[in-house]
Amino acid sequence: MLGARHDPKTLTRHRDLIFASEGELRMWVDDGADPDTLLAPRLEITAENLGAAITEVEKLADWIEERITDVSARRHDPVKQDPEASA
Amino acid sequence: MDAAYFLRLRTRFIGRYYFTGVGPFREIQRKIDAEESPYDEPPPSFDPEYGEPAFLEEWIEADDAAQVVGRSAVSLLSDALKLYCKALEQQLGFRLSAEGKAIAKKEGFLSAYKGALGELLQLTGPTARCVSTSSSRSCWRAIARSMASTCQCSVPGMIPRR
Repeated sequence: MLGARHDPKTLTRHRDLIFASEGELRMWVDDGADPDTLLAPRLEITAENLGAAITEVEKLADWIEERITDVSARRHDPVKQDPEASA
Repeated sequence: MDAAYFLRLRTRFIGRYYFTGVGPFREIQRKIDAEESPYDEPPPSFDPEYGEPAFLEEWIEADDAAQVVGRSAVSLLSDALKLYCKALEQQLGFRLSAEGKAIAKKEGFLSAYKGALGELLQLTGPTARCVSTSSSRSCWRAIARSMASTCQCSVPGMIPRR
């Protein structure tokens, strides 16, 4: 009833879809990965793929936080802000 | 404001929301598969000559319901990420430029913030050339793949589209 499929725009940009039925995704790729196919991989949300997406979001946040710490440190350290001035 | 702290609160909520939400529907499916009560006896309307197993409709309906919960969870995750990016604007003191807003409209908010954050963090020094490192690229890519599905995940009437 709710068999929503990935749209051509998404399929053009991504081939390794997180929320796709694994078998259908493999079949679509094996058949040439046509974004305009009528048999696009269906959306399938599972505990595993939702967990994987959440992990990726948290990993990105961790990575950004690390850089923000670097940015703040530089903002408050005049030597690091302008290394030539200290030379 | 610690943007990451609130993001983690939301991602933890989304995980719990999903597991709690799908539980009853997965249990219905399990009971049908195991022929446990109240699915141990076929319903009076069941006709074995029809070729379909008993309670097929109920099993599919439970699966659909679990998918609806899943799609709303993905929509919530997309919104959590969007709110995180908005909070970063405040925390780091930047705004999306006109070009960034155009990118957000055309390619989605993730692309716009990827550009803006990359620019901002790169400006601060050579060691912060963040968006070009392989670990960050794979992260952004994985999230873009997830978020690309969210346009098909919003449940009308349940999760407001932005």
